[in-house]
Order: sequence, then C-alpha cells, then structure tokens
Amino acid sequence: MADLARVPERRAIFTETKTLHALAAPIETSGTLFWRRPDRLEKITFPPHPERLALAGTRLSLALGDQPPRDLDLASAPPVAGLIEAIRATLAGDLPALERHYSVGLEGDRAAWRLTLVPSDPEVARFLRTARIEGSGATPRRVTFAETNGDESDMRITPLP
Amino acid sequence: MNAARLRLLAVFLLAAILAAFALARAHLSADIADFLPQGESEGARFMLDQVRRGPAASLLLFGIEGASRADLAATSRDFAARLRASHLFRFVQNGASLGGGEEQAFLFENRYPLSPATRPEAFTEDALHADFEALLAALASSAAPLASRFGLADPTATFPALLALWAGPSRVREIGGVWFAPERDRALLIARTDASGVDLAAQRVVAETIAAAFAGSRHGSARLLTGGPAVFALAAERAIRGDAETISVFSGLLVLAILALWLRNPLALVAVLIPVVLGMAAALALTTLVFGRVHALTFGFGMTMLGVSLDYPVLWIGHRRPGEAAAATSARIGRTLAVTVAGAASGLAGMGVSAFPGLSELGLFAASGVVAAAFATRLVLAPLVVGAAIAPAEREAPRWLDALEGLRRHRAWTIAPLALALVSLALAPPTLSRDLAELSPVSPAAGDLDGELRAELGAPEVSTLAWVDGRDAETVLEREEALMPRLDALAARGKFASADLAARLLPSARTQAARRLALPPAEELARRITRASAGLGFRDDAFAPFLADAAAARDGKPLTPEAITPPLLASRIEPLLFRHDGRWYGIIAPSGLAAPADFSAIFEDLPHGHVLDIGAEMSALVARYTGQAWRWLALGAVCAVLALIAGFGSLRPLPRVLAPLFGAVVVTLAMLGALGIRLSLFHIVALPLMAGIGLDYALFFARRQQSGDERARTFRTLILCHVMTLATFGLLAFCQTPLLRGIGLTVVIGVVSAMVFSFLIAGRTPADQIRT
Repeated sequence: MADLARVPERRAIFTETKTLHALAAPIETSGTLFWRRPDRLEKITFPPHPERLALAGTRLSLALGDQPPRDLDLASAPPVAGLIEAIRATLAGDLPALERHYSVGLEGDRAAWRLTLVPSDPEVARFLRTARIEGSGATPRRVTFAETNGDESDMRITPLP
Repeated sequence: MNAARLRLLAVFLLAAILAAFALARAHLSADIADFLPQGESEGARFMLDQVRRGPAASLLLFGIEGASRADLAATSRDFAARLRASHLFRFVQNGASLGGGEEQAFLFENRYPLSPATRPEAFTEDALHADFEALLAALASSAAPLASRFGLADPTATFPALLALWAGPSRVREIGGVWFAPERDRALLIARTDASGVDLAAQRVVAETIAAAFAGSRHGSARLLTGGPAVFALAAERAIRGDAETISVFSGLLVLAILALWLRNPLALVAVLIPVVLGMAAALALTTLVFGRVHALTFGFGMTMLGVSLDYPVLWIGHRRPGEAAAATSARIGRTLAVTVAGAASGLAGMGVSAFPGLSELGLFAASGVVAAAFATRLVLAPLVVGAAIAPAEREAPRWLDALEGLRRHRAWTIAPLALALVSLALAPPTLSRDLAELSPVSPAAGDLDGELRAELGAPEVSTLAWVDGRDAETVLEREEALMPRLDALAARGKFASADLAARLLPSARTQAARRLALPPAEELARRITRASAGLGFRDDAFAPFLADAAAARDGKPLTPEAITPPLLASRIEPLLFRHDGRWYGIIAPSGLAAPADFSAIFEDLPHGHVLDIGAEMSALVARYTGQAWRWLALGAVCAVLALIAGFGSLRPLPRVLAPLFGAVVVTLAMLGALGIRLSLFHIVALPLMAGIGLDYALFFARRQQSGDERARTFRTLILCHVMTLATFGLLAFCQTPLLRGIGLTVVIGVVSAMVFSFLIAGRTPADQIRT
C-alpha cells in the first residue's frame, strides 16, 4: 500500500472482459486509464464501444459514443460508487478509505499481491459481492468484480511509461 | 399618616399582583394570522388559512453562496444532514436524490401505473427493439452495473421518466450531487418544518437549529440565505418586539422621570400608577373573556393607548387642593373628568365593531382599560390620596400665564392655520394604503431574496393559488387531469414555468387503469420481446423481470393517496391533495408566474375550479376594512358627542369643546397628506386615540376656572399630561415598524395641534373667566 501511495500519476492501457447474466457471450473492451492524485480518474474506451468516463471527487461524467456526457453523483448511485471507490482508493494506496467501505484481505508478497475487498456498506453489498485487485510492487495488474446478480468483470492493466 | 402611606403602597402592590395574574391568564398569542383579516368568501377564507397555516407556510428555502463550488456542495450536504438529524423537519431536500431505498423501491415497483411513459406505443416491437439496442450499449459501458440492475427489468425507461417527475424543480443544475441555482454559484435547499409556519415559538427553535446546523457545516467562507413565510413572520415579530421593548422601556423611564420631576414626591408617583395598572388588569381580563386570548400585538398597542389613562390620576391629583376631601375635588372636576373618559372610551369603542379581528380586539382592550382606569381613579385613588395628603401647594397664577391666556383674545386668528390645513387637504389629500405589505416591518430586500430563491428552486408562488374540489380524492384527481392539457398549453406559451399538482404525481384511478391496459398481455409481450431482441445476443430469460413486472402491473389495483406511504413521497402529495370537512381539495400551485390573468382565466368557467390571487384578495380586504374604518370612526364620534351632551346636560358647551378637536383632526390629516404619508388602517386607528387625548385638553380648558390658583393648576397639569403623551408617542415615531411609526406620528401631530387649539379656542378669555 505504501508503495502505491508514493506514485503521483499513472497511465495504463486496459482490456476488460464482462460476463453478464443477461448476455449469451462476454463483452470485450479495451482502452486507456489515466489517474492522478488525489481523486482524478479517466477511462477512455476504444470502439466498438466508445466511451469516456471522467471522475473528479464524487462527480462522475459518462459519455457513450457521441452522445452528450451525463453527470452522476456517486452518492446517489451506490452500485457504481462501490466499483469506482475500490479502484480509486487502491490506485491512491489509501488503505483507510478502502477499509471505510470494505473489509480488506491481503495475500502474497510485495512481488505478487492480491487484495480481496468485501463491501461492508449494506447499500453496496446489495450489488457487489467481492472485488479483487492483483498487482506487483507499486503496480496494479488486474481488477475483478463479482456482483450479486452473477455479473462479473475482469480488467487487465498494462502500465504505460 | 404613616398607615395611609402604607395603605397606598399596599394597594399598588395588590394592583400589580392583579395585573400580573391577568397577564398570566391572558394566553398571549403571537400568531399573526389571528390578527389579520379572514377572507371574503368561505372558500377564500379556507384557502387563506391554508396559505397562512398550511404546508406552504412551513416551507423554508435556503441558498448557500460566497465560496467555491466544492465548498458550497460540501456545505449543502453537511447542512442537509444536520437538519435531517434534528427531526424538526418533514423533509430536507438538496438534490434530486429521492431519499433512501424505500422511496426508490416504491416508485420502481409502481412505475407502470404512475409513469407518464406507460403508453401503448412504448411496447410495440419496433420501440422495444430500439430500447434493447440502447440497453446493449449501456451494458457494454461502465454503466453496466446500473443497466444490468434496472435496465433489464425496465428497458422502456418508464422508471427514469417517473423519477424525473418526482425529483421536482427542473430549473436547478446539479453539481456534486446537490442543487445549484441556474445562473450563479449558489447551492439551493428546500425544507418543510413539522411545526406550523405560524407557530412562532416553534419556528424560533427551528431558526436556532438552522443557525447551529449551518455554523457546524460551513466550509470555507460560505454564507446562508433564508427565505419562506416563517422567516418573514419571525423577522416581523422580532422587529415589532424589538421596537415595542425598546420603546416601552424608554418611554416608561421617560414618563416616570417626568412625573418624578414634576411631582417631587415618590408616593405621588406610586399613586399615579395605581389606576393604570388596574386598568390594564381589567382590560386583559375582559379581552381574554371575550376573545379567549389576547394577541401580543393587542397587548403592545393597547398598553400604549392605555398610557392615556395616566392623565386621569395626574388631573385628579393636580387639581386637588391641600386638605380637600375627595367629594370636594369631585365637585370641581368630577363631571369634566367623567365626560372626558366617556368621550375617549366611546371613540375607542367604535373600533370594536370593526370586522378586522385585530382591531376589534384592540378597541375592546383600550376602551375597557380607559374606563377601568377612570373608575380606579375616582374610587380607589381618590380616598388614598386624601389619606396620604398628596396635593400640590396652593399658588397664585404666575404673570406669564396671564400673558399667555391674553392671547385668547386673538383666537379668531386660529382660522388661518385651519384654512391653510383645509386648502392643503384639498390640494394634497392623504392617499389610502391598500397594501398590507406596506405595514410589514420586514425590509423589501428580504422579500426580493425570497422571490429569487423561489424562482431558482421552482418553488410555488405565494401570490396565486388555484384549487379544485370534489367529494372524493378520485373526483379531484380526474378534474385536475382534465385541466392538465390547458395548463401545459399555457406553460408552453411561457405564461408560467410549471404547476405543481397532485394528479401529475398520482394519476386518477381511471388514468392508472388506462395505463395498465397500455401494457400488452403477458403472452403477447413475451412474443414481442422474443422478436425484438432477436440477434442482439441476449439470453432467452434476460427479460424475465420485465415480463414479470409488466404482468403484475396489469393485474394490480389502483393506488390511492393513502397507499403512498414512503415519507418523502407522502410529504410531496399531502400539501397538494387533502381532505377538509368531508370534501377533498387539490391544490394547483404555479411557479414562475408571468401572466397571472391568463392563469386565472383557466379556472373561471370551471364549476369546481377556484383561483385565489392572494395579493388582490388581501388588497380588497384591506380596502374594505379601511372603508369600514371611516364608518366606525363616525360611529365612535357620534357616541362621543352623545356622551358629551349627556355629560353636560346641554348642547351649549359643544362648539367650544369640539372646535379644537375638529381643528386638530383637520391639521393632522393635512400634515400627513403634505408629508406624503399613505394612510393605513393604523393611522386611522390612531385618530380616535388622538381625539380622546385632545378631548382632555379641550374639556379642562373649557371649565370655568374661578381662581388664579385653579387656572394655574389646570394649565400645569395639562402641560404635564401633554409632555407625557409626547414622550410616549414621540418615541413611537422613531420606530422601524411602520405600524408603530404611523400611530406615533399621527398622535404627535394631533395632540400638539389639539393642545394649541384647545388652549386658544376652548380656554376662556380673562374677561370670560371673571364673568361667572
């Protein structure tokens, strides 16, 4: 965690596989991630599912395709807030923030670690079963979510210099 | 001698205890609505009452500004949380988020009958196909958790359409999850107190809670702006109370100082107070008996008016010769004093017949207090004064009094100022104020702020209100629905921004049934879903929740007002749809009203539609009461003249006494007109008060005074009375409260001119005095 907390800014590319209970086949997306201390996060997804997600504080803006962006406050959308907070607090190396919302389990060593997050807030727990974040050193490599309705997502992250 | 003094002190104490007891039993009411007119028709009365005491009166509007957006949003969140935690509020809303899960779950479950998006065309194969494609895009995005959770059960977006309806005002922006004004950095909140808006004691607690909550949640340099009827009521009360307290303390001390200086006898000072204190006790008791309570305003103004009765003991003591028995003093001035009191009391009693609730109370209070003080002077004070041997020493009339009274030879000249006043009155007659707001002690800036917050929040206007009624809730809702197309058309033409009404949130059972029928039967819907989703990659059972919810909604029962149980939702419906005396009422509250006449026109030809222009209604009422005021003024004047005739037993002394009063009234009205002051009801109330005081002067100067000592006594005593009156009412003229200022100014101008006219016209020339 201390290693993570020392990094002021990150850039990465990602590939995400979503397995949704409603869909026969998984959905594959890829794009770039940009993060800057303390609370900025930007996720840009390439076509065929173009999207731009920007987060500043608790304010989330989401633009699908060429539609105008929609604003969302995390406080009013617990399912999204649960996922976003898990990623952002991990990137920030902010263990206290993680522990406010989740019971945190840590396995492995510095070279290969794995965080398992189980939501403690009942509002979030209604949607999210567990979040897992794996990484080595100061770099997260993989984020997976398992939701209560059987939906799962698996995001693999490759840092950019 | 000592026993007599002790007796006097004991009587004073007893009187004070009596007054304190009467005050304790008087149920002083601070509810301003009790003091105001009640409305012309039954309906207007009921709705005015709704406006004053109903949910609209307990609405509070907040703006937070003067800091960065992040600080404002954080302040808004913390402030709202603290207000909610106080449990003093029905609801506190600072953003679109509709409370906890209970509200959301209720609306989601009942989305099909409640949402305007439930139409047959939303469930065709083509419409469903388009919805499914959009859903697929959402599932591929970061919003997948939301889309998967709600979208599969509600692909036609019926729920978001419903949520938008309930979220309320549309003009606000949302930043950081909280409402912001559309054109500036100002966070907005809206709240309703549990306590009625006119319950000032409870609203004071609310105001303290708000101040503490804001102090505890303030981020950066944020500052709080507040609006709402209760805020006004509190500010008005504070201003009036502040004025009344300051004035009563200052004028009380001033009058006491003047008396002490003049009488140079502490015992005499105590004696002078006895009748006033007893008069106050009697006035409180009688008013409580008749009206069941005494309004705080009545008490405040009534006590000012009772200040007049301080004259009676002063006149009595001032005219008493050393060693004289009560009967002997009475033989000289008893009749004059009785006529004075009868005249003043009948003038004030005229007010008692006013239909303006506050005024009839005030009239009764003042008249009964004056009469009681007069009786107390003759029956209680007179023997005590004899026992305690209080009387000014005998002195010959000083020379300057002769010179001054010599001026009476030129009294014909008083016609000059009178003529001037009449001309001025003809050229610049005082205009009548018809606006109750002009009487308000609250600054216009506070009203502007309230209007601004209201407009930014899209909160209903306080100026215009419409309603429909019916025998049950369903009838009312159906009548509202029949109106909605006309309302929407008018809103589309920019005549007003929006109208809050129950039928938009809770459709009638008939409309709910129609919406249910818009949903295809289960097998048909299943067939359409299969065809519409073909080739999109959904699993076969992906839309099972959609199918189940639609089928359940099709067979559901209509929702009634009672079925809306989640607190936040119930608090939106309750003020808009309610039962009163076995009838149901549906309120239609417009916001951003640009064309009131067009809005009102909608309701004109409706048998069950009503519209109330509150401003116009109040102006009409005030105009009616002002018109009425002249009538009760005339009645009071006639009663006073009859009392004078009865007291004198002849018509002969009338011109001598009435001429100065007439002159004083004319000069007062002319002065007010020339000063450009608009006459309100309260100026008019002050006229009989001023005339009552003037009557003192005229009657006492008009007495035949057979010795120099007697002339000097009358002159000295009247001047003392005059100075005391000026001290009291002169201070009133410096008040913030227009109402108090009006009374003060009128009385000061009136009594000064009454003094001059009485001295010159009513008083006798030296030749006349000698010719007994």
